[in-house]
Amino acid sequence: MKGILEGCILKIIDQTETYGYEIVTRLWDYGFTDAKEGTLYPLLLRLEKKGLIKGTFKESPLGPKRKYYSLTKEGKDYVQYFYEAWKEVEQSVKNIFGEEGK
Amino acid sequence: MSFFQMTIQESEKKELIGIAKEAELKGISLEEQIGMQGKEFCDNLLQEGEVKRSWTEYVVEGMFWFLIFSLAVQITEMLALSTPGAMAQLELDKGIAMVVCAVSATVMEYRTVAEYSGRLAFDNKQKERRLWKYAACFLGLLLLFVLLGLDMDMTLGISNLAVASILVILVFFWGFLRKKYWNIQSEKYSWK
Repeated sequence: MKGILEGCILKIIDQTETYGYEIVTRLWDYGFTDAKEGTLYPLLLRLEKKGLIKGTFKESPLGPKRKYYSLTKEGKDYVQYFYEAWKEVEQSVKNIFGEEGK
Repeated sequence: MSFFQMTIQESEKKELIGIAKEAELKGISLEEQIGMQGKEFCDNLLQEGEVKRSWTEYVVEGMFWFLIFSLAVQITEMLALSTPGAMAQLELDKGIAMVVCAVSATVMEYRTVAEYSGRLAFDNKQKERRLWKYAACFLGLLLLFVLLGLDMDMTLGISNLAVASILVILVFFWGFLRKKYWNIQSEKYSWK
C-alpha cells in the first residue's frame, strides 16, 4: 500500500509543484481519505532521499515557509514505471478475482 | 557564519516549524494537523529520516582533521626538539605519529559527519562546540604533556618552523575549502 501511495504522491507532484498539506488534500479528493500529513511527511522525506523529488522553501498560501516539491528526472521516469507496473498488477488482481470480461 | 551550514535535518526542522505554524494559524493542535500522536510521527520520521552521507563529506572532514592533528604533532615535536636532551624523553616516531593522526582524524571525521544524521542533528551549534572542544582537548593534552615533562627552551629550528608554517597555512586553506564545500551543499539542498 505504501508503494501505491508513493506512486500517487509522485503523480500529484508531477502535475504541479506542491507541498505537504496540499498533497494531503489532493489525496483526500481522490479518495485516499485516510491520508494524513503525519504519514505523508516521512514518505516525502524518503522520496527526496531516493532522489525522486526535490524540495525548495516557498511561502504557502497560509503564510509560513513550506517545502515545495517537484519531480526530478528520475522521479518522472519512476512515475512512468509505476503506472506500467500498476496496470499489470491491476490486471493480475482482476484475473484472480475473476472480474475479467464482466 | 558557521563552518557548517544546515544539514538536511535542518531543512526538515524548518519544514516541521512550517507545519507547526500552519497548525497555529488554523487554530488546531500540531497533532490534529499531522493526524496522529507525536510519538508515532517521530518514530516514522526517525525510520525514514536516516541520511546516507556521501563519501566526499567524509573525505573533506577527514583531511581537515588530519591536518589539524598533524599540526599538533608538528608543534609538539618542535617543542621537544628545541629542548636540550628532550629527545631522549620524548622521541616522536613519524610513522606512529601519522597513524595516531590518521586514527584521530577518522574518529573526528566520523563524529563530524555521521552525527549530523544522528540524535543531535537538530542542534548544530551545540555539536560544533563539542567537536571543537574535542580538538582543543587533543591539542591541550599534547602541549601539557610537553610543557610538564620538559624544561623548555623555545628556540625553533628553521626546518621545523617552515614545516609548521606550511601546516598552519594548509589548515587555514583547507578550512576555507571546507567552508566553501558546505556552502555549496547548503545551496544545493536549500538548507539556508
